Amino acid sequence: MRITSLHIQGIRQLADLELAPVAGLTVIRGANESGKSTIQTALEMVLFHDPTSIAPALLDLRTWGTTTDPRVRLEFEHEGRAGSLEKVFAGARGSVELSFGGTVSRDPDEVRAIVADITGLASEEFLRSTASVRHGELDDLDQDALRDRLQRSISGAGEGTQAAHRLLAEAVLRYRGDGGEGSGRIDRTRDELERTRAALVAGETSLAQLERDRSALALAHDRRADLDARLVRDQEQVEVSERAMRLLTSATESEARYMRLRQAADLQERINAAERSHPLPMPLPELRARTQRIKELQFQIQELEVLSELRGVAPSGSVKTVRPPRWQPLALAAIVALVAAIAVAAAVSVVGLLPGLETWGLAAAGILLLAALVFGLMSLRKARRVRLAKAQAQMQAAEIDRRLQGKGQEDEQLRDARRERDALLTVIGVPDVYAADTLLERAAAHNAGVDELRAEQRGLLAGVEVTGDVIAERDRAAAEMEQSRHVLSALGGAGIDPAALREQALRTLQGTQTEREAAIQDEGLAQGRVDQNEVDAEQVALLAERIPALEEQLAAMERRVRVYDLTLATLDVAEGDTVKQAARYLEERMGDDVARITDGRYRQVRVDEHDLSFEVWSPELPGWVAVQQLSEGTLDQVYLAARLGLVRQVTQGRRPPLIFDDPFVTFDDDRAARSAAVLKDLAADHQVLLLTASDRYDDIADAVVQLPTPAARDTDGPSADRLPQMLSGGSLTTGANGAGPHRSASWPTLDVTDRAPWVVAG
Amino acid sequence: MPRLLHLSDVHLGARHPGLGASAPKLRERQVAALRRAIDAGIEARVDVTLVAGDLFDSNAQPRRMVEAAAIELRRLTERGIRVVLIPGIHDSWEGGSIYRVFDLRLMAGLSEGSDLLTVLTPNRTEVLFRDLDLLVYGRVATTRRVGRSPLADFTVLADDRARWRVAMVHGTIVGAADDDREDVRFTAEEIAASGVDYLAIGHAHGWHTGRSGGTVWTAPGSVEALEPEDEDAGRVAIVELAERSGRKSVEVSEAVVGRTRFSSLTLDAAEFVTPAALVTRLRTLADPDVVLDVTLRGVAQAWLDVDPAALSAGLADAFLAVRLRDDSQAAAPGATDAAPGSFERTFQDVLATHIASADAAHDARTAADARAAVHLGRQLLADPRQAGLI
Repeated sequence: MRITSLHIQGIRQLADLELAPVAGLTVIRGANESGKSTIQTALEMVLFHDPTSIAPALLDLRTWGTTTDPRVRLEFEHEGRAGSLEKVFAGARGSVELSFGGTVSRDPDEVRAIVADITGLASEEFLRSTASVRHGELDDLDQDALRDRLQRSISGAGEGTQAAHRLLAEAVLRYRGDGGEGSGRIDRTRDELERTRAALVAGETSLAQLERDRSALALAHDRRADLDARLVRDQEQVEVSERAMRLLTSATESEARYMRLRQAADLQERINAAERSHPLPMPLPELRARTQRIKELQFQIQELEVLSELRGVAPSGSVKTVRPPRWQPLALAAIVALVAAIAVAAAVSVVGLLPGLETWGLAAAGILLLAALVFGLMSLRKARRVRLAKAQAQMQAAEIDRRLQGKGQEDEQLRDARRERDALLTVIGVPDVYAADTLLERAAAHNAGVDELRAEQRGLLAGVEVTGDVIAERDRAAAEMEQSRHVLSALGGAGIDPAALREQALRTLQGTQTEREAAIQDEGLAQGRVDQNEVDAEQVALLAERIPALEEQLAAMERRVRVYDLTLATLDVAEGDTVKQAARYLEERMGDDVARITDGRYRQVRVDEHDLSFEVWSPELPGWVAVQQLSEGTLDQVYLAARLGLVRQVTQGRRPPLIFDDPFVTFDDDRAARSAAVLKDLAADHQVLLLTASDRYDDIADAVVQLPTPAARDTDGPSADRLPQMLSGGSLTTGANGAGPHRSASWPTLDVTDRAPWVVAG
Repeated sequence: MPRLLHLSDVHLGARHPGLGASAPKLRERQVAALRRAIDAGIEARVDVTLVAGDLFDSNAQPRRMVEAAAIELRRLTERGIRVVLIPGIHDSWEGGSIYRVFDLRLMAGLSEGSDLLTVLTPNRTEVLFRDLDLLVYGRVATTRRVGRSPLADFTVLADDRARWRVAMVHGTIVGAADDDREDVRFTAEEIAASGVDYLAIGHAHGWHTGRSGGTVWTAPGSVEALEPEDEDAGRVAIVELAERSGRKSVEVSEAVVGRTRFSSLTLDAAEFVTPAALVTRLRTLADPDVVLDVTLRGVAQAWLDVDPAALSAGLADAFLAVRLRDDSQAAAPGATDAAPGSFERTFQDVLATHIASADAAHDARTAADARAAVHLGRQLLADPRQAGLI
């Protein structure tokens, strides 16, 4: 690439400058502050700066006192084709236009890529590290800094690489930590993951235990419910057995009652049969009364028959009259004795007639009283005998009268008696009194047998409640007995031996109660275990849900760090490889340049690929000498040679323009001349722009451009409003060697003051 | 005529490992979906609610979860609506089943003898509602995995205790050629042979309904979508048992109670240079009811280091959850403008060699890392302070 025209507008003190560098070495000469470094900056800007950048540093480049946006236009030739590149730096309004090879591009990235392709310089950093050597860049740096810079230059790694390296290292440190426990994010995440996993395992274990506990609780609950049911059944069994016992008792009683009733019924049937086979047509009392009557009538008949016989045999005067006894004397004697007793007693006790004989008097009175009593009783007895005798006498008299009244009446009575007796015998069904009496005896005996049966029946039924007919009662008892037996048989075994069953049922019930109590206790314990297990399924779920996120997070971190590591390692490898290649290349190419610059004093250069330290072969020793041991000027020359070599290396077949801003100011005149000669040689392949304040390179230059010297002077002291006037003006003049037009040297002379920001650029 | 609310697979307390910090939100949504399902039943004036299994996601749920369910069920019983439940596979009857440990009836404030809430089990297989002339059978397996169909030899054709006969089962209808994948299986032929008027099925998470013989069956699916596969989830069935011209008629309609949806989105990683660009793009699709599965595919042209946790957190207000799967691959290092021997060229050459050897060794991870390193290195070298790069 060869620049054919460079037009700079509105950048620092260069309000409007147009240059036309030649193909070889173009020396752009100007006094201090004439804008030499600004030209270098403008070249860097047009090649690599983003025109839309709003970086303050870029905007600060605007020419003081103007609002014109910085603009740089470059016309060039590359591989026989002309092109142009123009950039206007206006922040977001900035623009770029590259016209080359028949195409026009306005895309900053595309333009950047094309520029990189044309120049062989990937970036501005690369340009600055190789093809653009700034004023004082070599002599202002200490040796270590210089080496670092050179290292970056050789490796192609600019600030971006270092920043990338630093960012990656910091990120890796952030993720991996400094080796301390849990100091990195990965460790912390891994720890959290492990803790979460452990908590999940514990949670799952607790949940499994909870399920087991709940299962045990359910089983205990079911078992208790079963035992509740069993208890009810057992209680029912006890009740059944007790009922069976009652039924059995009842059945036994029914059977006993039935047996007695059955016997009683048998007796009743015998009684009934006996009553049905009674020998008389009438009840026994009637028979007895009739028989008695028959016997009385028979006696009467016999008496009448005797009388009748007597009336016919004995006279009536034969009846003896009985004289009645007398009772009155005895009654009189009793009265007398009584009176006497009263008199004696009165005399003794009341009148006192017999003093001293009171005892005897009283005794006599007593005896008299006793005698009166005896005589009284005897008189009463005699009086009764008298009444009996009188009655007998009256009867005898009446009999005698009756007998005497007539025989026809007696015959009548006899006939009536006989008739009545015969009628009664007929009723009874016997021929005579004897037979009647016999019949009566038989009937009495029959009734006695029946009575005996009844007595036996009463004995059987003692204590047995019988309402009504015994036979019916027996039948009822039989039915009851049958029913009891049926119920018992329906109870199965219980009906056979209810007592044993009850005993067994009670034992079973007791066992069930014991089991139930144990089951209740088990249920309580199981419930307790469930209640004590405080695991929360939702919390465990949160853990389970957290783990995949943590795993994903950890995997992402690990991948990230792997990529960081790989990137970092590759940066190091790339840097190392690049440096290694560069070191070998430099060793090959620097020797000639160093020899030329040092006039053959040093011809061999050795580059350490690790620390990029340079050594030169010292002919005095002879041996290798570290460049740091050489003079500062020689050191600068070595590094200049190194950079020139680098340019050759990194641009390979491409030929970017090289820009040098007074790199030889620390060189003595000879070495400066020799260095310039090197540049001259370099200019055979590259377009070289040498910015300098000196005219000592004019002779070797293919063209010289003289920049106008600022002429303004601050005669009135600081006054900002005058600055635009000071920076304006001037015109281009054509250099002595026929180079392109340049501004005339009519610029006002300007003192360097600390108010001028561009002084740092030289 | 009886009207039924049929729901299943609420999976209260379910774990959602793929949702990370959003999992509790989905659990809350499940409770809310149950609430809406019950609201739908109340609004439809149903007589009986059938919960066909997996009301709970496991038998290890805490008491408060059971109480939360009981509170919701109580809203039905307070209105005289009977509730009949059967255990499912997740909350199976075996071991410490939640239905054995907790008495839902008592927790719903009902007395022990109430028929307003009934859990049908292997021990109690049916409940008869005389006033509705309705008999509900529960075909409950004793264990999670049974070798025998719960509908095998099940028929109610001879049962004339009620005019309407409904059965509940938790399992999957399978064909004859089905393999052993499902835990509880039964066939359409068994459904037809059952003779019930309506078979309430649980287990499937999507809506399915049909008729086998004279039996109408429905599997309404889970009340809320729980997984990306639950496409037809979030529904409950309203079932009307009626007489039409002297013939039995079973009409099934659906009510949507779930709100959560799972969506998947595949994006070309080449479209995004930074994670922020990806977030910006996803924000245009914001929907707080959506669990969005984003898959990055294609070839990333930059170091696109998306932190899934940060992405999910950054979009927490836009989606229920965002899950990222990065299947993209960093572009292989291509032609470079860097001169041979230059640092950048060497950097890329080194990584290219690394990638080549990793590819040769079939070490995909190392190759992918190396490709990513190429982009990261390039971007760092171009602008180390690029926001969000590291």
